[in-house]
Amino acid sequence: MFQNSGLSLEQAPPIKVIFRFFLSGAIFGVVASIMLFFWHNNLSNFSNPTTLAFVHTLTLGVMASFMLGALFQMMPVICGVHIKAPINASMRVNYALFFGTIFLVVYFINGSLILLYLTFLSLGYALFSATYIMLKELKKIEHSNASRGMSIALTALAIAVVIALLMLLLRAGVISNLNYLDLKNIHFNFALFGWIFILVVSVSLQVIEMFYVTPKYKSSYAKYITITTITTLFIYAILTFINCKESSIILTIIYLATIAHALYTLYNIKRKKRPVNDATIWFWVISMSALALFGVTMLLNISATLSATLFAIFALSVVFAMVYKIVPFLVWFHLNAQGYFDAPMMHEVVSLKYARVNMWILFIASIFSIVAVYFNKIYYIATFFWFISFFMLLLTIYRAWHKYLHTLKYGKKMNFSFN
Amino acid sequence: MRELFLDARELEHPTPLEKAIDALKELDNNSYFYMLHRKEPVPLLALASEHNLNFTSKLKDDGNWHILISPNSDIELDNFIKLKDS
Repeated sequence: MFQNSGLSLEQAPPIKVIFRFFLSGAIFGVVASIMLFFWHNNLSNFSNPTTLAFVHTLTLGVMASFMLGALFQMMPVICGVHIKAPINASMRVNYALFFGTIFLVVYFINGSLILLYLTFLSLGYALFSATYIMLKELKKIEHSNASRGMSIALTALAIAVVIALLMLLLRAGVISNLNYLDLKNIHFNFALFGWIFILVVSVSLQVIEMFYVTPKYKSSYAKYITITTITTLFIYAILTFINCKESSIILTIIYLATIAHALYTLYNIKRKKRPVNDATIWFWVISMSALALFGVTMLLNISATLSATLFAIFALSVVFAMVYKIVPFLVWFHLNAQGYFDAPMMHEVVSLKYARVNMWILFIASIFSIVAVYFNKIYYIATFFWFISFFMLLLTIYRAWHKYLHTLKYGKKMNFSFN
Repeated sequence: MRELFLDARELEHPTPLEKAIDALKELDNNSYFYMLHRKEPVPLLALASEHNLNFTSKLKDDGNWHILISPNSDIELDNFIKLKDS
């Protein structure tokens, strides 16, 4: 029997659902690169409409698309969670997230009130229904540290969304008795650290050991890193609401947690039991290195733009690592599960060499982005490499999907013929 | 009964699953597949379930998973679980 109470392939979201999320994410990545090319001079002011449009293209269009898609895929496998009606539920989330992101980005640029209300409805629906669907099922299982962390991350996402919706109502003039700046600070801290950081921590607790045969994280560390982070965020939110002027000092705990997790993960990767010929591990190394540097720059208060750049590199590298793991696996596994034993092997779906080339291009894009914080003209080079990175990722997903459909159409289907 | 054994404890993802599916193709009514793994291989068990195979997975005290799969639904696979890991 299954220890995880019985996963069936029918209960996992079909491959096309995950691919739609990933294709949306990669398209927004290409769009974000183009935005960076044209708007990089205006991005140092975090209240600038173009900055808000760019940041939300990255956080919602790219990261939320990939992260929710990956969660719909991983939760049945990692947590043994059954998501009911996976096709309808996840497709609705995907469409609402896709169009909601477009509405929000265009709203930031032109300020149209109609777009604000459309954003309110579509993103509110997408993100609440995604968190509700997943949290409802996660409540029923016996938690591992990874699944507990995912529940915490989803809760933080829901809080970030509630606050974002309040901010939209303030902008629309529907409500007026809340402090916009306080809400904004709480919103982005919950979104960046509660949602993105805790989710990446939770995923790494599960997959670093599983994928790369590294030693396990200490269980006390795995349990408390996510709890400490969310508790700190709640204390920060309370201090902010009671107008404590020094509330941001408490965030030092989170900056220390980012450094701790980055260094611990890099240490575990260094101690892996076998040499791994896989670009995805290098995406993790880039990600964790950027995370460690992010923590240091925040602690030393070096440059907000540099910190934001490092955080983006941290989150995007994990996205690339997960896509290059999940996409070939999904194609190969779903075809095998349906009896297409002449299905392309995983390295034939996405070649190891192609993934390595993409990893180097992302690495170069990251280095140029860091340098560009101090030498503005370098942004043109950085955006070129980001554009190539996301375009390669888009091609990877599209080609994998095409290979899957091609095998379905022309492949030789067999049953296990045992008798 | 013929046993096809795979110790996947130190193999990185996705090698255990690839090797396991290759092994499943070799099975007949007089054989079973036996895998040792550090994690419960949920996708493999989902696939076995999808194809109506007889399977069991047990977590032993040493932290290793013992997974047995056979096309023969008449055999009690739990009886073949080894007390020691190798």
